[in-house]
Amino acid sequence: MTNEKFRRQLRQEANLWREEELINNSLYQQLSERYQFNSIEKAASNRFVLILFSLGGILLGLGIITFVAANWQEWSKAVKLTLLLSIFLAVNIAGFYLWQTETDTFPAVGIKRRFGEGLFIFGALSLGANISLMAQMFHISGSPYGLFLVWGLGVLTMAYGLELVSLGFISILLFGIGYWQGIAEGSVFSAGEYSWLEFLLEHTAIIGGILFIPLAYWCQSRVIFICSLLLLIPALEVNIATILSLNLPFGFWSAIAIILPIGLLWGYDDSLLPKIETRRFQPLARSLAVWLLGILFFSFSFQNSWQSLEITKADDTIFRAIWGLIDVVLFSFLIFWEWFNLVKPSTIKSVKKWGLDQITSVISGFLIISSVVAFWHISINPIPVVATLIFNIQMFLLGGGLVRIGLAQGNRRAFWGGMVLLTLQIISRTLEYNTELLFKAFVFTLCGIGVMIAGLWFERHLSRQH
Amino acid sequence: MAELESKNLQDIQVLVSQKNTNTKKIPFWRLGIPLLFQLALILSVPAQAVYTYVTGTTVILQTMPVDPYDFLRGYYQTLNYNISDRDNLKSLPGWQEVAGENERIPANTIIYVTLEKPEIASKSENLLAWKPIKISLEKPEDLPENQIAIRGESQGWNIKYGVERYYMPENQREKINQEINDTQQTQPEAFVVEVKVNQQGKAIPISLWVREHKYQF
Repeated sequence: MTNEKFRRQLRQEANLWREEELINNSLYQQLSERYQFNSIEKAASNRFVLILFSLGGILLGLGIITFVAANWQEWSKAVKLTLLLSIFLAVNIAGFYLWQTETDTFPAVGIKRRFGEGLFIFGALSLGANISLMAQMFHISGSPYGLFLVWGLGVLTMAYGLELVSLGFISILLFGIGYWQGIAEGSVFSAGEYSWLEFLLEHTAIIGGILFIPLAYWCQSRVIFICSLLLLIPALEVNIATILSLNLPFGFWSAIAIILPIGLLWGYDDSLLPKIETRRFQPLARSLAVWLLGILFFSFSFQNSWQSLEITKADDTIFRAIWGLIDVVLFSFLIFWEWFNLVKPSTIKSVKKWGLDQITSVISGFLIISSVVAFWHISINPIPVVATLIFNIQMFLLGGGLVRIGLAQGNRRAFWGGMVLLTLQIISRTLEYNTELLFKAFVFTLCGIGVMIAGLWFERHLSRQH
Repeated sequence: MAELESKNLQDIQVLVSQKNTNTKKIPFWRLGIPLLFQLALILSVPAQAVYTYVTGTTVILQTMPVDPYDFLRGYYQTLNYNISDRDNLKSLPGWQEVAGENERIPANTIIYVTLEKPEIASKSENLLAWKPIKISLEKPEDLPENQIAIRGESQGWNIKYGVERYYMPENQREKINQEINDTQQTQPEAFVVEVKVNQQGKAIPISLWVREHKYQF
């Protein structure tokens, strides 16, 4: 939306143009209608009223909060309950009506809407306050992770109802906090009472996929898509890690832990989902896959990481880990389906044959080599030196490939990602192997100069391309 | 020229009318249903506690001193009972069944401790705590009137019954704590907790008794 300052200036200019006869009267009228010149003054006064109202609102809110705080201890449970619930309901409903109001004046569009959205966020937070206060009133001693999971689910329904990205983000955040708190407590996958909260924790990978990914499409939000993946992928890895603690072939499962998340992300295709035609989020999933590859290569490019790779077997009390297998199996089916669709001839691909496109072949090559090396190192014969070398070569190829793609397609993020990866590799290898200070100084300087020259050259290359 | 102008006008009208399509109307039920769901979540939290409160049997539990550093955490009082301590359960019938040859009950095991009401009402003002008489893995059926089974989960060295926290108002915390401390040093059996236990053996705390004072929040 055009801002008011611009419209004011435009009105001034347009008056001038009309006087200088640069534009005729009818064009002036059109401009005046388009930018609603006659409502500028009204808008200013409206804004003033709005500022007064918000100031008053803040003072009123402070007054209420102070009053509640002063009397909180004296009130009975029933009073507290009614008060909290009515605040909860009032905030949400008021938010809804403000959010829905259509403003007729041009610039004021959005102010009420934003204020309404703010009330929704406040309502989402007060949901948590309500739940924890309930637990407190009845002296329920439970772990806080349940609060966050339930809270997140509550906010999620609201995000679906109102198609609000902000609420969706809050709900993923809350669910994530609950998930990691629950995992840190270590009650998951252990014997004992099995509650539905533990069910949520165990299958966060699937549940996250079912609950949050559709929300990303519903709200058409890239942020929600990325955040759900950041919840789901680590949860899947946690499930694989718990399976590892059972007496299963360690090497095989490490290979799965490498292939599954990255392969899933790279093979992600929106158009495989029902009722979705555009490939809206595929580039996001693929960039995340490349990120994960980079992190994987970097963390295993150190010799130490291969030497210290040991099998830690947990005690036998973890017997329910096997249920986490369900998620892994389901996602394995998904990955097969995804890659089957990548391989099979389609109308979009230029060559109508079975096979992979060039970049996908390279990525699958990376995945196969990495998992074979990991499997070999763990299950057949320890090869720390060879494994380190192979991972370094892969890291170099990934970095170089990214730079090349960046150059070919004029893609700034790919270029810089590749540069960072290469520089990181050179610097970390220098720090790892050479102790001579002078050599280090030399390498650092060279890297610095190299990055600067490459960057300048790339930017010029880009501007020449355009 | 006129044609161009009319086209311009059309474009402008499209642009102007766009702001109305940006803010599409959302029907009220799309707020109402999530709101009802959230309300149900809020009310479901104390549902079990309310059920226990209404249907449960009142039982008095004997407390034990807790580590003073862990005593007050936030707004609640940490409570520790004589049946929380495995040393007090070791001599009970059923220990072999629950713990086997081990010194402790394996973590996360669900156990039931049968409590019995003290026979004679005491002459003193103090309430008498119920005595543990049996420990088992299954919930005992057909208990007589004066007995009840409480459900606990082993944490390894001690057992949790879900009644280990008592929230109290900030302004009375200091005073009550002082009183509890004094009582536990001079007359430990005079600090008891009144709980309610339901048919499934789940318990919720109701009130604290420190000597003749009853605190209920």
